[in-house]
Order: sequence, then structure tokens, then C-alpha cells
Amino acid sequence: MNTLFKKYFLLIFLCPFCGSLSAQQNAEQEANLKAAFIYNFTKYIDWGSYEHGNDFIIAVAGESPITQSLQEIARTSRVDDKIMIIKKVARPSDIDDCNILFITKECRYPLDFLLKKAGPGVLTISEEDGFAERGTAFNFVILNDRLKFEANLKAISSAGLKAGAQLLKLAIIVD
Amino acid sequence: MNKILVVDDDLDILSLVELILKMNNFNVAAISRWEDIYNKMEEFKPDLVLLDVMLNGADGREICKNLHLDKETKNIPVVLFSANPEMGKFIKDCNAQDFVAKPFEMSSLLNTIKAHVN
Amino acid sequence: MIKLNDISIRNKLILMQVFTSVVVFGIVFGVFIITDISSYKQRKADSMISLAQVIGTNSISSIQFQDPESATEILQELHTVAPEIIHAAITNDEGEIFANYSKSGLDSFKIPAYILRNRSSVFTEHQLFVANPIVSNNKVIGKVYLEVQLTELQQIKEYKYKIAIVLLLVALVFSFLIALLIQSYISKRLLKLVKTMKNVRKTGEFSKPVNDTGKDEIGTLTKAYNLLMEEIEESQRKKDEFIGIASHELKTPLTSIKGYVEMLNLMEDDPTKKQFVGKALGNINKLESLVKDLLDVSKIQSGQLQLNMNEFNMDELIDEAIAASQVNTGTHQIIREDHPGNEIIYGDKQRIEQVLLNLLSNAIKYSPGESKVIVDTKKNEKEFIIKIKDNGIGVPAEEQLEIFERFYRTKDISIHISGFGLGLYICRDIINRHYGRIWVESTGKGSIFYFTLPLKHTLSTQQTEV
Repeated sequence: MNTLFKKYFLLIFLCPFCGSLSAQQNAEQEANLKAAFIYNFTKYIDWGSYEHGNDFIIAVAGESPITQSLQEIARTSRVDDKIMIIKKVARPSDIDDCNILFITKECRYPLDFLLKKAGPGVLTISEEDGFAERGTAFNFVILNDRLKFEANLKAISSAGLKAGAQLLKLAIIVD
Repeated sequence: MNKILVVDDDLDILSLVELILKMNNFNVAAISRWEDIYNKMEEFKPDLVLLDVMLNGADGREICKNLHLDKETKNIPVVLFSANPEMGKFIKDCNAQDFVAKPFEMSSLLNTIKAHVN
Repeated sequence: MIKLNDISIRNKLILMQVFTSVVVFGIVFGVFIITDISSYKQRKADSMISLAQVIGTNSISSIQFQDPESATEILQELHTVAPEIIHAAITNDEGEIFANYSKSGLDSFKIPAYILRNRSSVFTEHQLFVANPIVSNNKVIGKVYLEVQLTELQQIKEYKYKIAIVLLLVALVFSFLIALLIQSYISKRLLKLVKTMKNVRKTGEFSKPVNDTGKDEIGTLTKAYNLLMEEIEESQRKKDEFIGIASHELKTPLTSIKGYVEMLNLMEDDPTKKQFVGKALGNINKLESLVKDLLDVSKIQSGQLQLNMNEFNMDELIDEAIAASQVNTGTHQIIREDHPGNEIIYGDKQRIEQVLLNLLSNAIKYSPGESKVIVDTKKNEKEFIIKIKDNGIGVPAEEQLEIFERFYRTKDISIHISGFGLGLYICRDIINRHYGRIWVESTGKGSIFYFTLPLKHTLSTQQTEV
């Protein structure tokens, strides 16, 4: 998995497709990339009647460097004109009002529990192989040194959400 | 001797004709002013009048006609005299007897006059 | 080198119209074709930009999620959707190619430099380049580039050029035909004028005005011509009048001179003086005859010459004329070769005598002393022919018609012949009026002058003919 590659500055919009991962730098880049993806997901998800509140809350379960990336994004960007709030969630019981639940790989809690807690109106995103099959809406995977994501259509619809075709066409559909 | 009255406003021609006629035993009266014709006719009683057509202020043919109308003069023969050969055609019109063209052959002039003088 | 002024007006008019038509139509077609092609290009560019826009929109997520394959898939669709697109590429905001497509068999896309400079479409000779930014959230995240093959445009151009040329040829033919018809209107009037002018030169009839009622330049020209002709006619008339008056005036002093010199002749016995007087008299007679000729010519010209027609004995007249002419020549012999009959002719005796005297005088004048002049006559069923032959210098062939013209003197300057050159002109007029003919036959050794007079019984038919 370690191959040489160039260093890119990855903010929100543009990334060249060449990429592979290496050590610390790569970890940071991966975090930034995933955060960017998460942010971009919001452009293609319709929360429908589940849109509420003045803020857009992304709950992050587990201690992850992605949190920081998300916070950086939150500083300058909005979702649907709503201020982004990144909430760290230590225990599942802390998961209440949020729009996105990001289950990091550092999270120790069982997935089913978390999913049950997430409930309708919450977009669940994970980064662990096989999680999409188990019920998360989106799941990050690394394929051929590239960051991709799986999508579970049933999970999306049972959360009462709709995902745009433009997004889904890029996803690896899992059921 | 026959009496000839010559009327021509050109003095040289007048003298010439007078001379020629006199040389041929005619009694000649010559006038250059046509106004004097009637008086001269009465006074001279010519046997023939040689009358120039192109007179100063008069046409010889008119005068000839008038002479013929006048009881006194109508029997006197008139010979027209002109440089214009066309005048020969007017003889009958104005009751003239004949016509002599200028310039003339002397013999021709004399013969014509002799032919018509009575 | 064809000079513009040498081309007939007819052709100039046609040329002008055809040229104008071709130029005007050429310009019109040119403009139409150019605007057509322009708008086609514009529409093409617009539609390609729209296509690029759609591609761009559909590629936003591919770029956001760094998925070049999906972008490439979109571009691949172009193969069927827009086969005229031979290259397509999507670049990121740094200008690096994210996805590209090239129609089968072609090299990969090289985006021309000038496209990268913020122009949305550029036409080259055979291609159209289109660039459209991909915008998401009011930010440009990349660009779509398309390269379009313009074969359709080429075909359209060729087609339109062909049509234009065909139409131009049609226009040319039509304008030629129309011009052909119309030009006759102008040139006809001009040619009529020219024809009249030529006629006037030939016949000398100045009094025929050309009828042209137009108010344009040709009308003005015609009016000016008519006025000119009137003036010429007037001056001719004045000239003839002058000749008439002059000859009349000349005769008056001549009468005196002749008369007095004749008197002198009679009176003078001194041989020397008599000789002098005789010379003076001879010349006075010449002068007299010249003046008479002048007057005759003036009359002929003004149509005033009239004939005194009568019956007379032609043979007697010939004898008289010979006798009179013989007096004037010392050494010539005038001989009559025919057998004199007693031919009665209807005509103006004085004038025919004038003709005979003139011809005999010419025969004497133009032949050397002691030579013979022969007079002969002939008769056929229609006319009486008189022939006067001399052994003189003759008349060259090219002059045989001209000698009967006014004032014609022989071109041979080696001999000096006196006279105005009017005699034959007058003779011809007299003979023509008698419905006869007059001509000359000649070698270098002499001339034979002929004239004919119609016999009495043919006269009535002759008169109606002429």
C-alpha cells in the first residue's frame, strides 16, 4: 500500500485522482479527504422532514483525527446555510439530535447499538470494512489505493433519507 | 423712222442701247426714271418700248400691264429687258411682246426690235 | 487593347448591366452566405457550450469525490450522442486533466493554448474548441473542454458556394437577356440619328428633321442636330440666293462692257487695236458664259431650274451646235458621222443646245489642236443616243462618275483648263430632267461622251417611272 505520490492540498472541492497513502502525512491526508467527502455528501442527501434546527450537527463517535478535519471545514463552510457543529460523542447515549453520525474506526461500541441509537433522520457513515452491509448508509473503503465509499440503499431509505443519483453512481452499492 | 422708247435705270446700258439703236436708224428716247414714262409716252409717242424689268422702285412687268390697260398706250408693243433669263416666261402675263436677255448680242437686240415694231 | 470608347454603346450598356448584376448579386450572396455560416457557427458553439455545461454539471460529483472513471464514462457517451466531438476533457481547478476522451483512432487531446485564455469558444479552420467552467456553489472547480470536428460546416459551405455560383450564373444570363432587350431602346434612337446623318450626306437633303421627342440627352442631341441642319439648310439657301443675286448683278456691268466693246469692234479698223478688242471680246464672252453657268447651278440647287418643253428637230439642232462650235475653234474638225434624219424630240431646245455646245466645247478644250471631234447618233426603240468623241487626254476610270459633280476639275494638274467645272454638272441635270442618261467612256487616247433622250412615245411611261 505504500507507494510514492505527490502531496496535494486538499480542501473542499478538488482533488486530483492520483493518490496513495504513506505514513503520517497520508493519515492526515486521508482524514482530510474523508472529512471533505462527508461534507460533500451533504450536498446530495435530502433530509426531508428530518431537517430541523438552525444548525447542522455531525456527531463523531470515537477519537479520530477526522474530527479535526471536520472542524476545520466547519469553520469556513455551511450546510444549507446552517452552521456546522461537530459534536464528539463519547457514549452512544450521547447520540441524540444530529444529522450525521460518523462512526470512526476508533469507536469501540457495537455497531448495532449505535445504529439503533441513530434512528431515523440520521445519516450514518462508517469507515470499517463490512459496515455498510451491516447497516450504515455510507462506508469508506480503500480500493487500489484510492478512497471510495460503499452505499447501503436500504439503510438510507430506512433512515428516511434520499440520496442523489449523482452521488450514488459513484458509490459501491451494497445491500 | 421708227421711234423707240428705252427705259433702264442703268445709265451706261441706257446710253449703249441708245447708241446702238441710233446707229441703226431708229429714233430713240431714253429715260432712266420710270416715273417719267407716261409723260414721255404722251410726248414722244413711240412705236415700241424697250422696258427694263428691274427698275429702281418698280417692276417693269407691272408697268407693262398698266400700259396695256391704258387706252392710250395699249397698242404700243413692249419688249422686256432683263439680266434674269426667267423673265421671258412673264411676257404673256403682262402683255409684253418679247424679251431680250442681258448681256445681249447686238444682232439679237436689233432683230427683236425690228420684229415687233409696227 | 480594347478601348472602352470603341465598344459600341449597345455592348457597353449590356456589359454595364451584366457587370452590375454580377457585382450586386455577388455581394448579396456573399453577405447571405457569410451571415448564414456565422449564425450556424454561433448556434454550433452555443449548442456545444450547452453540452459542455451538461457534462460539467454531471461531473461535479465525480470531481468532488475524485472519481475520474465516472467522469470518463460521461465523456464516453459523446461517442454516440455527439459524434462530431473528436476530443473531450475535464480538468480540475489547477488545469490538470481529470478525465479525457478521444474519438476512436485519434491521438489524445491537446488543448490549444489560446483556449486556455478565458474564451468560451474558438473556431479554427476545421475545428471548434469549446471550454466551459464547472461551477459548484459559485466556485469554479474545473473546466470541460470539447474539440468539435466541423465537417458538417464544410459541407454546408460547399453546398452554399455551389448554389451561389449557380444562381450567379443564372443572374448573369438573365441580366444579359434583359439588357439585350432594354439597350435597344437607347441605341435604336442613336442609330436612327446616325442613319439619318449618313443619308443626309449622301442625298444632300438637309431639311429632313429627325423625330425624337425624348427629353433626355439623346433628345437634346437630336434637337441640336435638327437645329444644325436647319442652319446648314439656311446657309445653303443663302449661298444659292447669293449666287443668284451675284450672277444677276454681274450681268449688268457685263452688259455694258460687252456692248461697248462690241461697238469698239465695229468701229475699230486699226488691225492691232482690232486684235486687242477682239481678245477683250473673247474673254467677255467667256466671262458671260461662266456667269450663266453659275446661275444655272444655283437654280438647279434650289430646284428652280425649269424647262421650256417643246418639240424640235434634233438633227437640225445638232448641225446648228456644230456650226456654232466650229466658229470657236481654229484647227479642230467637227465631223458628223451619222446619217442625219429628221428626228423630232420633245424637250427644251435651248437647254439641249446648251448640252451640245458644252460637250463640243469640252471636246475641243481637252484635245489637241488639229484633232478630230466626231459626232454620231443612234436610235433604238426607246431612246435617241448622241455620241461625241474626241482624241484628247481621256478620263481616268475612277473619275468617270465624279466629273459630273459640281466644281469638278480634272486632277491632272499638268494641264490648265479654264472654267469653273460646272458645265457637266449642268448637262447632267438637264439630261436627267429629260429622263435621259449621260455618261462617258474613255481610254487614255480620248473620251466618248454619250447622252440619251427618250423618244416621244416613251415619255409618258418615263414620267410616271421617275
